[in-house]
Amino acid sequence: MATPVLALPGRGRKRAGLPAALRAKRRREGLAALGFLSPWLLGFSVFFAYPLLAAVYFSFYYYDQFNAPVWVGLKNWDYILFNFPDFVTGLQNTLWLVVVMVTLQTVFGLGVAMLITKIKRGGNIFRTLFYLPYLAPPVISTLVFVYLFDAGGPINAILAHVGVHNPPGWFNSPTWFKPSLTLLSLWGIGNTVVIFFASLLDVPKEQMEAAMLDGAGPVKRFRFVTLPAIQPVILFSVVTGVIYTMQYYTQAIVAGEVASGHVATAGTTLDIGYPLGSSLTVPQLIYQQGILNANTGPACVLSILLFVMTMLFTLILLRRKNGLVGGD
Amino acid sequence: MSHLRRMTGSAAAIAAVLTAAACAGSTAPAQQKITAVDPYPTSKPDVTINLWHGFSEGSENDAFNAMVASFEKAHPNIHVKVTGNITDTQIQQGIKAGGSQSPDVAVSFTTDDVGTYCSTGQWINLKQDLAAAQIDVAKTFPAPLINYTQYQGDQCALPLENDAYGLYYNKTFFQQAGVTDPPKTLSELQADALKLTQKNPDGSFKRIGFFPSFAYFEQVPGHFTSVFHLKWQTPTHNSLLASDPGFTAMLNWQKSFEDAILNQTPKSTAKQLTDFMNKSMGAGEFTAGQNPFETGAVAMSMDGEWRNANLKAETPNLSYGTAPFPVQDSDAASYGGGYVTGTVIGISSRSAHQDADWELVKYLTTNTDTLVAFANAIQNVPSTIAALASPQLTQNPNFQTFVKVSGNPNSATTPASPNGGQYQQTAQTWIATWEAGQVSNLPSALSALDTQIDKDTNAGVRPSGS
Repeated sequence: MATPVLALPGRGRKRAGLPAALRAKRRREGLAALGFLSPWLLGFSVFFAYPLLAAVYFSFYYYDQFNAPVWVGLKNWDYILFNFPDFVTGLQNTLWLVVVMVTLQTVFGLGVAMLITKIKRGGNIFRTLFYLPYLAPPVISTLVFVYLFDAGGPINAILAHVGVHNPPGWFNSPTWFKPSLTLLSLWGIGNTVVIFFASLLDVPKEQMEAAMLDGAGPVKRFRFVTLPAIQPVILFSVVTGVIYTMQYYTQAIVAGEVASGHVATAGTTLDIGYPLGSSLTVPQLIYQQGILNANTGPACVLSILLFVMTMLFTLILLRRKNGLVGGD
Repeated sequence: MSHLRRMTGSAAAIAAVLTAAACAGSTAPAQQKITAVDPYPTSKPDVTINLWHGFSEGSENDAFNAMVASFEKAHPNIHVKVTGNITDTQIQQGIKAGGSQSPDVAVSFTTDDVGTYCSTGQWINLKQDLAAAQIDVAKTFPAPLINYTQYQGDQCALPLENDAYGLYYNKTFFQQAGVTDPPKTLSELQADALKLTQKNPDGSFKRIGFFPSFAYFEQVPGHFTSVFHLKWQTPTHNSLLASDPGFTAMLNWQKSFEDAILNQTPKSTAKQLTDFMNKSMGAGEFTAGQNPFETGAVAMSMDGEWRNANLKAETPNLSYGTAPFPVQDSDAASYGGGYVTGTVIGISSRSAHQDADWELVKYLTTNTDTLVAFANAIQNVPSTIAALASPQLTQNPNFQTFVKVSGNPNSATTPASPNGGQYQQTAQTWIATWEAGQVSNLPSALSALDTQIDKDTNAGVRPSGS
C-alpha cells in the first residue's frame, strides 16, 4: 500500500498548486519584509559587503587612488606578511592590548559594579561618577592623561612627594606606554560598569537566598549563582571589547604624538609609533599606508588580516564548548 | 622635513602687507612685463579658483589673504576661494576626489611630497607655462629651491616662501659662561654646550647647552643634510645610508656628543637626559612660552627662521642671537650654509581652468613686492632672488642670518622621492633605536635599514612600465 504523501505547505510544494490569491499575498508579504529589511541590506551592502570585496580586490593591485589600478599579484601580501616589520610590531601591540586591556576592563568593570550594588545609600552618585569619564571625548581624555603623566606632570610630582623619585616614563617609555593606555581605558570604564550593574540586579534573589540557606559563602555564591547569571553579559562585554580593541587607534596615536612633542599639522609628517614602536597598532598602519601614503594595496591587506583576526577571536569566544558561553 | 611655522605677526606687519597688496594691485600692468603671454586676459569670462593652503594662524591668514586680494584686484575676472589650515593629506584627497569643491591650486607646507605630486601626476608640469611667461627659473629662484620643487625634470611646483635653518643661541647664557661667539664647527658647538650645561648634585639637568638628540623638535636627521652632506638616495631612489660616510659620521657625532654631556659629571645618566628633554619639550615646540629655548632649558638649538617671530611675540625680552649652524671640523669652508626647505605651490591636473590657475601661481611666486611684504609679515625667507635682495626685506640681523643661509651655495635640501618623505621618516624612527643604545652593529643595521627603505619605496610606487 502506498504511503500517502502529506501536502506540506511551503517548501517542497509546487508553487503552481497555490491559489493565485495566496501567491499574491505571499509576494506582498515578501516585498513588505524586503522593504523593512532594505535599510539594513543597503547599509550592509554599501558599508560592509562592498568595502570588504573591494579590499580583497585592491589587495592584488597597486593603486594610488589617483591613477588606474595596476595588477601586482601577491606583491602586497608578500610585502605586508614578510617584508614589513612594522606589521609584527603593530600586531604584537594590538594583541597585548586585547589580552591585557580587555581582561582588566572586564574584571575592573565587574568589580566596580559589584561594589556599587553593595552601597546602601548614594549609589546613584557613584554610578554617575564612574560613568562620567566615559562621556569625555577620547582625544580630550587622552590629552589630559598625557599631561597628568608627563615627566614634569602632577602624577610624578605626587609620586616624588611620597618618596618615588625615579618614576616610570609613562607615555615616553616603551615599557610603560601600553600600561599607561590601559590606565586611561580603566578610567573610562563607565559603560561597562553600568552594563554589569544592570546585570547584577537581575541575578535571581531566590537562588541567592537558597545558596545562603545551603551555607554557601560569598565566593561560592559568586561562582555558582552570580557568574552563571551574568555570563551572557560578560560574553557581550568581552566580545565588544575585543572588537573595539582590535580597532584601537585614537588614544594610541594621540598619546604618542603628544608625548613625542611632534604634533602633526600642515607641513609635518605624522610620526606614528612613539616611543620606539610601542604605540603602534594595526589600525594606525592601515591609516599610514592607505591615507598618508596613498598605498591602497598594502592597506587593504592589513584590513583583511585585521578582519580575519577579529573574526577568529570572536569565534573562539563564542565557541559553545570551552568558550565563555559554556556548554549549554 | 618638518617646517611648520607659527608666526605671530604684528598689526603693523599686516598693515604693511595690505599696503603692499594695494600697491601691487595698482602696479599690476607692470607685472605683466614678466609674461610674454597673458594666460587669462580680462576679456575671458569670470572664473573662481579653489585655493587650499596650510596657513593656520590669524596673522598668517591675513597676510596670505592680502596677497590673494591684490591678485584679484589685478585680475578682476579671476576670483579666488581660499581655504586654510589644510594638510598635504587633505590636499591629495581633495585632488583625488575631484569635483567643483576640490583644490585647483594648492599650497603645500612640505617639500617632501613634491615627488608624489609630480610622479602621480596630481600637479601639472609648469615648464611650458614658465617658458611662455619667459620666466628663467635659474635666474628667478635660488638653486636649492629649484631642486626641491622639481622631480626628475618635471617642474610641477614653484617655491612660495623659503625656510632656512640655523643656530639660535642665548646671549645671556653665553655671557655668563664666558662664550664670546657662536660656534662655527661641531667641536666648538660641543665645547660651548658643555660650558653652558648646568646640572643638579644628583647629575640631573637644570639646563643643557644643546640637546644631542634627533628627537628634539627641529633637529630631525633631514635638517642635518647640509652639515654632513647627506646623500640619502641614488638618482633612482635606492637608499644610500650604509654607504654614505656622512650618515655614519652624523650618528657617531650624536653619540659622542651625548657621551660628553653625560660624562661631564659621573652621576648623569641617559635616562636623566631623556627625562629632562621630555620635560622641557612639554606640550610641543609651538606652545606659547613653553619652547625650551624660550624657557631657558636649552642654550642653543637648531631652528628655522620663523622662530624669530615666535620669540618676538612670546619672549620679547629674551636676548638671543642667530648664526649659521656649525659644520664639521674638516669642512670649515662650507660654513654659512644650512638646510633649506619651504612652502611650495602647484596646480591640480584636474582643474578645469589651468590657465587662470597659472595666472595666480605666477603672481604669487614671482611678484617681488608682495613676496617681500608677505615674508616680512610672517617672518619667512622670501623665495626669489629679487626678493632676497630687496631693501624692503626685514633687516633685523637675527632674520638676515637666514636670508644669507638661503642664498649660500653650501645650503642643501633633502631629495624628492616618489614615496614622499617616508624614507626620512623610516630613518628617523630607526635612529630612535640608535639613540636608545639598541644598535650593536652599525654597518649591518644601516644595510638592513637601506633594504627596508627600498622595500617600502618599491611597495609604495607605481610598478615600472605600467
